Amino acid sequence: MKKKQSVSPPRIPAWILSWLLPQYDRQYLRGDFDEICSFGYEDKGRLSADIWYWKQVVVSLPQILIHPFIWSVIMFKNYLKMNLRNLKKHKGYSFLNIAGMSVGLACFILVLLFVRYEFRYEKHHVNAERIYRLIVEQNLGGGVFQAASSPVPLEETLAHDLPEVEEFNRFTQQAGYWSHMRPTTFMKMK
Amino acid sequence: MNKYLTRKEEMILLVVFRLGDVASLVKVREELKHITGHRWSVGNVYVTLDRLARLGFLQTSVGEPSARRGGKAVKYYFVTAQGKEELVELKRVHDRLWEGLLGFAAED
Repeated sequence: MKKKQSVSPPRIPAWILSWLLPQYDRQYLRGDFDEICSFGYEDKGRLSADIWYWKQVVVSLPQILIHPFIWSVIMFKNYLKMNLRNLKKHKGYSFLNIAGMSVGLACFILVLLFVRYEFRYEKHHVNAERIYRLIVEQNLGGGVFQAASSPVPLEETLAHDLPEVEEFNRFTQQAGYWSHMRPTTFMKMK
Repeated sequence: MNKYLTRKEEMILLVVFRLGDVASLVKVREELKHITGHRWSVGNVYVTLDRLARLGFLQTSVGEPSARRGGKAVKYYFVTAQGKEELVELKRVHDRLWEGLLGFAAED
């Protein structure tokens, strides 16, 4: 009997429990668990008392994990309510605030869409960084005009004279859609 | 007093009152098991005791540590005057509620 009393409760669950218990009553509660466990050693044997101790930890874990989440949801609901009441109380200020924010956000989104579109333009081609578009600068009567259209024979001339030009292609807008302009077509047109 | 104690709080307050000087958590739990016939978890009893102490119906005192408790002190609970008033009030309400109904309940 005396030997049984000297058996101490399992260490690991005791340590975990002491970590989970409320701070101000920790010592007393640890004592209570140890006491119940030591009575368990005498009544039901070592194994079932140890299992009981472990069970205390396992059973209390879900609640302890869920608890902070539940409280944060409750606090969030409270914040929401407070903010809504504030908006109602200061109507003019709220209007200015929300209107300014929405205009700013709308501008930001429009600018973002525009910039994204401009940067993505024609980027879907393989080797997009090696494709160039020919632009012609014309000096007409002292003024400089830029035009995307260029004389038809210019491509062939460039491809012939400059080794950097690997391939070239022409296209034109006909009846509202862009069509590929084959040399044969060009010949016919000529 | 417009808010009454719950059934569980009332039961535990009564058990503490019944135990007198030795109402530690372990003793309260044993007594509850003895009276109700089923097991009460440590957390269930402790939370209720703690709440009753916060409400002012119980006061606590720290006892001697013992080897059985792993060298930790024990906390005893006592019913305060306020707690006794509350128990009397609850008893009065219960008696009023049960007035003349005991015969009907026994028939079923």
